[in-house]
Amino acid sequence: MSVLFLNAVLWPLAILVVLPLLVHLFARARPPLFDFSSVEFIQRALRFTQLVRKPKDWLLLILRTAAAGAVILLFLRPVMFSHGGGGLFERRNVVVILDASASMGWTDGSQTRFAVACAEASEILAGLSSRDAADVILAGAAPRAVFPAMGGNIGYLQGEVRRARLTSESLDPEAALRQAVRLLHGQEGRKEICIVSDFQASNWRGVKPRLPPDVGLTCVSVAHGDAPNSAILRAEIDPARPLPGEEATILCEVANFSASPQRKTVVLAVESARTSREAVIPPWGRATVLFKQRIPSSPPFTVSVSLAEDLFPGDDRRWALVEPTDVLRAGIVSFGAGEATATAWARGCQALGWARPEPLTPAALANPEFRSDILMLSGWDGSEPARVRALLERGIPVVWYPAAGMPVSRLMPVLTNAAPVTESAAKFVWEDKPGTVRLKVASPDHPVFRAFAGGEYGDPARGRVRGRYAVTSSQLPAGEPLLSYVDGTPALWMCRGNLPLVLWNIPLDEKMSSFQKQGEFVPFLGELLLGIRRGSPGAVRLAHDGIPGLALTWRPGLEIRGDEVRLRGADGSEVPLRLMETAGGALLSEPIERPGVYSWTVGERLISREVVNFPVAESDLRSLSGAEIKGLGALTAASGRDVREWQAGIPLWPRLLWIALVLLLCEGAVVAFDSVKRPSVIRGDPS
Amino acid sequence: MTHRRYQYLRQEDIRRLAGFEFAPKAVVEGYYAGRHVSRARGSSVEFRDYRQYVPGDDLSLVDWRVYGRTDRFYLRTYDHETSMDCHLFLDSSASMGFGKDPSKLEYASFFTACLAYLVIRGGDRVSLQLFDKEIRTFIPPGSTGSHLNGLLNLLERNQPGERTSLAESLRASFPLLKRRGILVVVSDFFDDPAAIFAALGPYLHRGFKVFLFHVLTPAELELEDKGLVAFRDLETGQRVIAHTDDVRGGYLNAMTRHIDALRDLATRRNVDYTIARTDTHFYSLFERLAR
Repeated sequence: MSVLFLNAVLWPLAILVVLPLLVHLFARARPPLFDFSSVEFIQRALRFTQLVRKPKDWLLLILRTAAAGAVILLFLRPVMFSHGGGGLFERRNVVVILDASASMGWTDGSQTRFAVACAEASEILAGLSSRDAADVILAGAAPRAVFPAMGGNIGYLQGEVRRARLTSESLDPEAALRQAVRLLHGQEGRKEICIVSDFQASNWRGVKPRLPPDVGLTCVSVAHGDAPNSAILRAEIDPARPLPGEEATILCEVANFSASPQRKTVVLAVESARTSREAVIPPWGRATVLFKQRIPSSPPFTVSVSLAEDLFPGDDRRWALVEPTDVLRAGIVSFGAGEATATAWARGCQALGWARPEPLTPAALANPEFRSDILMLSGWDGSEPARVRALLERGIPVVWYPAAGMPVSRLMPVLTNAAPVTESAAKFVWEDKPGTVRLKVASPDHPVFRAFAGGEYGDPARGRVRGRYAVTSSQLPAGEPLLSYVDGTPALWMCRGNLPLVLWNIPLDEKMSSFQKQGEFVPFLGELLLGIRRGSPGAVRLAHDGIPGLALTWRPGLEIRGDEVRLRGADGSEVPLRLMETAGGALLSEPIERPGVYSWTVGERLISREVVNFPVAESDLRSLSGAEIKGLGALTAASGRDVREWQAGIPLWPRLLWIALVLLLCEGAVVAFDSVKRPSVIRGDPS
Repeated sequence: MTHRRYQYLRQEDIRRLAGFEFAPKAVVEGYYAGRHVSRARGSSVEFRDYRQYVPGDDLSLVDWRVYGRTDRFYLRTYDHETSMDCHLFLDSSASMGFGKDPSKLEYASFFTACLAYLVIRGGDRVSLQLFDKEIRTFIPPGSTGSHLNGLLNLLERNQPGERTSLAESLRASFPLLKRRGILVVVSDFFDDPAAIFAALGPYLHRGFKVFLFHVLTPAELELEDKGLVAFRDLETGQRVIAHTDDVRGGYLNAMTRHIDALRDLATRRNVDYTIARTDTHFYSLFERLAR
């Protein structure tokens, strides 16, 4: 803390502080003479009063001297700086990061957190002088600075803050901080970043601002009190691309961000049909509501899931795009000795009718535009597992017939993020069985076998095999056998976990197996392909789910001219587009502001739909504690006014004026108290 | 009775005093027949009682009617009515010079002059004693006009003297008073109350009716606001620097205690004590004397 005197030239006036002392001394030195009848009583009074007069005299002298000092200081116009302030004559560079994310829409009392934040930001800017430079970053999914570089037009910045609008975006704090540091880089003078935010824990926890040492950080929190909220966090279609007539499941995850249990009605809207379910959500918990929906053979359509609106309505509705597919695209990749199995798979898919085999080369696995619904790898030795893992993570189920001699340990890099381990001795070793081996259903309750439960489709395990890989269940990753050989060797192994991987240990070579020749093979393959698509969370990622604040892209085909394409919101409003020359002629929209369903059209023809949903991270409105905010390495201010005072200093003259008045009042009170105690007439005086 | 103009007995005072009469209810001793009752029995029209005849008594005083009824000699006795002596003690110390328009001494002189006039007009005798630390002047009792002129001339020549010693003066003047009567002390009483009443003891024992008039100015009673001043004692010249605001409380307390002590002693000794403020007219003091 430091103090600066604006009228330092008046410092010589400080000598006047001794004025009361001088008056006191001189007044005592030469009093006027007063002839009195007898001083005996005066002397008696003096002897009595000296005991109390002396301390009172000292008190009065101190009070008067302090009052004179306060008045003199008042004219010197002192300004106090605290919290690192003190650069009154130093140029200041201030970047205000104004949180415009969706959580700022919570209403505390009569106004939203965002409105309060705008007022606080404006207050901070008001504390800057004409020689200072500033900028405002509206922080959302992507930070947007008002000026491309630090500017001195503070009035314009205040106007921009007044005009700023709340977004439905999630906050990227680190991106905003990076941009602020970039803006301050190379500036002369003091550098400071002021964050005005609700410091939503889901966004800010774990953030470690890495700031240059000469940049100060100040945080102004606008979150006060609890913000109970309920939200729909997830709306998914399982499977992501259902076939016409298939019964899909719509999963809806509802969250309760409050300390009391909530009973909520979840409403599913498909076209004009409405279905509702009740859900009881525990405090700070989640609940999943399932809706069954028969998929019609229609073009892509959207479903919406909603809750009754609460105080924070943005996250009470969510959309999902359902894109039925006429055929299931089975991408089949054959490696070396797996040719026969791949051919049998392709033939089986072909026989299904609703599945279309797509022979692919190994290079296709690296193509980001991989469009198959299921990947079938025959004879793959596990090399370059990251490619397959990426596809698994996209929700594409994989059926894998390993190559002979492949170490079993190569399964792990495909299923987990773990670094490749040392190849173990266990391998997929080929084992001939001249006497043939029969298969059996190992998990009859698995949904894959549900269609065979009645017996009209025969025995899915029918057939004999003359050779196989000699592996045991213990050597394989955690999972369950769908089919196994009579001796217990796994024949079809469903790996347990999030990634839908099925190990195929049945050779489909005509010389080695009669399994593919059985009439049950085709329906079993069909049930397997349908079954492994379900329950895969990764399938959600296939849906076109946009995020507010980010752009939507669409690449028109050769038959469509880019300038004819339009992007419209649900209310028909058009979103500006621009053609990107560098991205193969893709169309890029302006950042999407509001959640909803957006349609790509050519003229009046709908060519594609995309949904933009409320960011999940913005629903939990709990804020960081004061200690956690301090943990960011920042000063915490209660309001923008505090920051302004830290920066511009606190003028002390009003306080000094009050102090002087209080001192004079005290002096008056001491004098008055003394005079009240003193009798003014003699008791018993007959007059 | 007075023809020339005196400073302390003005013509308007004489006119206003025409309605006053100085007649304190006290038993006195006197040589001359007068209006005041004496303890001595003598000839007058006021019957007192009977007593038995003893040889040597005047036979004219024998009540023959009683002798006729009882066959014994009884004498009728009557109260002796005589003149009164009023002794005026006027403090002329330096402290009596305090105050303006009038000073305490001037105020006391007005009162003394008028009182002397009233006494002589009533046919009684008046004496005057001026004192400070000792007796400065003593004029024995007299009841003539020339005696009054002498008193008035003395008052006009009188000036504040030295320090007060009332007790000493009272002790010294006791032998000078031959007959008991009225003792009027006009002073500011800047002396020890106990010593004053110790000195008054012989007078009271002898049967004097004593009146004490305590002359004080408003400035002494209230200690007016003068700020920081150097108080100079008029009697001793001693200086004390003090702020009137600071010492007012203690001063007034001390003054109150002094007055209370005088009043208490006066009550106990059956002495009439009166505060005479110089801002009130001295006529009001005569009412005290009439009690």
